[in-house]
Amino acid sequence: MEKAIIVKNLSKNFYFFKQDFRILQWLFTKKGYEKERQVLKDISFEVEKGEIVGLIGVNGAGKSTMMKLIAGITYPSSGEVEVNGKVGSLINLSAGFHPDYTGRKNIYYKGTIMGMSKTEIDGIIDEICDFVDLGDYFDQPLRMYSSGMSARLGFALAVYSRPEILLIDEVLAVGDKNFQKKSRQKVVEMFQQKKSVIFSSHSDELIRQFCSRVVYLRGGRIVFDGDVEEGLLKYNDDLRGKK
Amino acid sequence: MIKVSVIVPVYNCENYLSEMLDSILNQSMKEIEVICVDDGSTDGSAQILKEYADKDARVTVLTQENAGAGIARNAGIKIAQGKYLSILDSDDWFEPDMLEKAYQKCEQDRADLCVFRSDRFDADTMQHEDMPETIKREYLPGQVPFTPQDISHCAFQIFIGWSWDKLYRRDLVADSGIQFQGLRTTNDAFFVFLMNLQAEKITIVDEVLAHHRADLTGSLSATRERSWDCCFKAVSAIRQELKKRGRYEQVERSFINWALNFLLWNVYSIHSADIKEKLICSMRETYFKELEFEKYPKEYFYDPHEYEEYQTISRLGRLGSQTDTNGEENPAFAQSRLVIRSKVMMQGIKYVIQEHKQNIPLMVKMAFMNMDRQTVRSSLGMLWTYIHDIIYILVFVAFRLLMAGNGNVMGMNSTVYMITGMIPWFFINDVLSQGSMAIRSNKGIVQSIRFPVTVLPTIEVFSIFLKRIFSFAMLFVVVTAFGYLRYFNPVIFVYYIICALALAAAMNLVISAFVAVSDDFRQLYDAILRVLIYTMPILWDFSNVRSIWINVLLRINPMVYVVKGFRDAFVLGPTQDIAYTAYFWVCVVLIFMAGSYVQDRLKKYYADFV
Repeated sequence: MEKAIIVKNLSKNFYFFKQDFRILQWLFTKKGYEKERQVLKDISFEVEKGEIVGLIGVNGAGKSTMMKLIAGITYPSSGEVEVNGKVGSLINLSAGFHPDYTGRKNIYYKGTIMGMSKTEIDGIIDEICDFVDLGDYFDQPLRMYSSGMSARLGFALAVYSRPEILLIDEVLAVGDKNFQKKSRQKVVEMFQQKKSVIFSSHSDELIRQFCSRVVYLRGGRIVFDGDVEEGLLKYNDDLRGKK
Repeated sequence: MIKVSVIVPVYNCENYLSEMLDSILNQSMKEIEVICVDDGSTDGSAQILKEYADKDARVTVLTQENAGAGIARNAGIKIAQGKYLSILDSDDWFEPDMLEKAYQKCEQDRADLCVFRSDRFDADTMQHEDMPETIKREYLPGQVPFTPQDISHCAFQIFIGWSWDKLYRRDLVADSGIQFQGLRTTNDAFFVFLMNLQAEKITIVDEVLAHHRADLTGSLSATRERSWDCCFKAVSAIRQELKKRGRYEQVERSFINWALNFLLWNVYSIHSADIKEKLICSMRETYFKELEFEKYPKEYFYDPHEYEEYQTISRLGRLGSQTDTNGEENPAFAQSRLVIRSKVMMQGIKYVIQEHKQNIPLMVKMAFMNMDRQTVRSSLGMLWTYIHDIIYILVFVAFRLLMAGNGNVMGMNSTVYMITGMIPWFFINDVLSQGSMAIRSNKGIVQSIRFPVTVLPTIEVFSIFLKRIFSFAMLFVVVTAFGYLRYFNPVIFVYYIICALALAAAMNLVISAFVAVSDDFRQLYDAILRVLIYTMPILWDFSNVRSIWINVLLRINPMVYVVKGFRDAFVLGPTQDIAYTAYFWVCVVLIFMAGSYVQDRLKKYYADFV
């Protein structure tokens, strides 16, 4: 089977600075940071085409950083990430929109930034409009939106931009109950279309419902990679143990 | 009788100290003394030690000025009274029966040295990791106990060069005269390996009895980078001591293999590219020669991969297989630092140009969108920009007319003089103030979408230029109204438009990056921006400045070239000399290079920093 994502010996370091000004020093001398923290340590794993992988772990285990690296938003300190196919990332859903634009115009705006052409967006704008179900608000400036509403917009754009690999970071709890149901349906639909998905959630139930495999991150390392039940069991044991 | 003296050097480890001390004091063996040597700690370690000493009579605390763990251990050994020595580290902890098992094994086998197993504990993942290398099974002789002669082919491989997984007979240590080295790092290898050979009988306990806390990021590696040459100091001292004691030939092969392995490990574990390079250079220039590596054939080395790495370093002055943390290949030693720097620079330039080339349609689209974005809320939209400009210009014109009358500057009407300078200044000013926010204000994009960040500043310059096209039209109107149109030279005009764009784009590469990552810089920069207009020939003329030095000083700013240029295009004809033109373009190229370097370096980190 073809691989959708190959992560090889990936490490990611974050640098911390006492003052912002030190960053400038660091730019030229590579010195001046207060400390360096490795948030991902020598991670390797692969995701097949059509596979749905759950990413579990406590806050700060490195899940979001992992997602961002796969999405190409940030870069690894060492190691490689190879992604075969267009990535749709459901990370930070309402970021990248402009508050003064209407919902509709924002779809064009962020769509363009994501690299879509006008005709492509023309082709999906009606579907998105139906899906987000915002009524009049769709043609109102975004600053009038509630946070749930703009997240809905972000969700819709990400799933309708026809990604082959979908990264879902804790976002199936977006919007009201109705929208949650709809968004889950949409995700299931994408699963059926044999898209590869990486799915991070703190809900065991959702992980069980969707995933065929889990990767369990702890302290920036993979401590388990395999069967869903076994992984969840290990994760929950650790949580209990810590308390 | 004290059976075991436990020696612990302590340096700033209040977090783990109690856990460590508890795991010693709660050992099943009670006939012990614990000598803690406070190596000038500056945190709460001293207090913790004092509490333990008060609580438990077996605990002795020595204090010294900070001199490194090696010196501290020596001080502890000096006053130890136990039959055996256990020399531990302050951030590890131990199985309750560690001392008992090791002690019993020594007694039973009448051994001078007992080695047991340990594992690595990762505090982040709470996982224990096996360390099979603490006692390498493949090197163990058939019978235990054994003598150093039994392991002479692997005396440096069989165990690891640290002391805390070993129990030493104190008499042997005292008689041998072997001490820990006073180095900042690698101060234990000398003692440990020489003691391995000094012992008459060695035994092992084949169980994990100690837990080593995995390298706490930062603390130790930083020290290691500062004292990068300690590794060789240890290697070299061991070699000399072996020769002095007449044991070098016996263990030569094992030693040479260990030395290579150890030096390479040091190279790999150093993050800083500069220090890495220094260490590699030293290996090639001196270390390998001093160790007489050239006399050993390929078969002499246990690990063919390590041999190849040694060959690559001594031939090319760089590593063969490993790349440094930035993923850039470590440059050949033969190149001077300047060449390396300029290579990095070229890489940056190539990267920035490539990213621009690949994204031209996107840039055009976004430039128009940006323009639109700024004005979407107001009903007059873009017009506001021009209304601002017009008011600004009118105020200055009115001021001049009132205060100075309608005079002449450099033979032209003062209003024309001012407006020909003012319009290009508006463009530059917009780039400097609003353009410099290109990356910072697009935070949302940088943090949530895969996007070629280095084109953002250029997009901003371009969209500001689009917005300013109308201002240039305004300039024509004014110039025509004052009857100066006949002097207009379109060729010069187009040339200076190109100059303005090039300078603006280059500057914005640097400035937008700095503004994005540093708020301090943004504030400083704002302050400079306010003063800038008065240092340029916009509202006044340089020819009034008598001092040639101040004149030169003012011209250092390449923006002056652009502002003057527009005046040339509209009124004066080409007046700027070749020297200043050359200076301007050199400036643009240099600024562009600096900008590319900064952008290339930051591209990996924008999403983390902004």
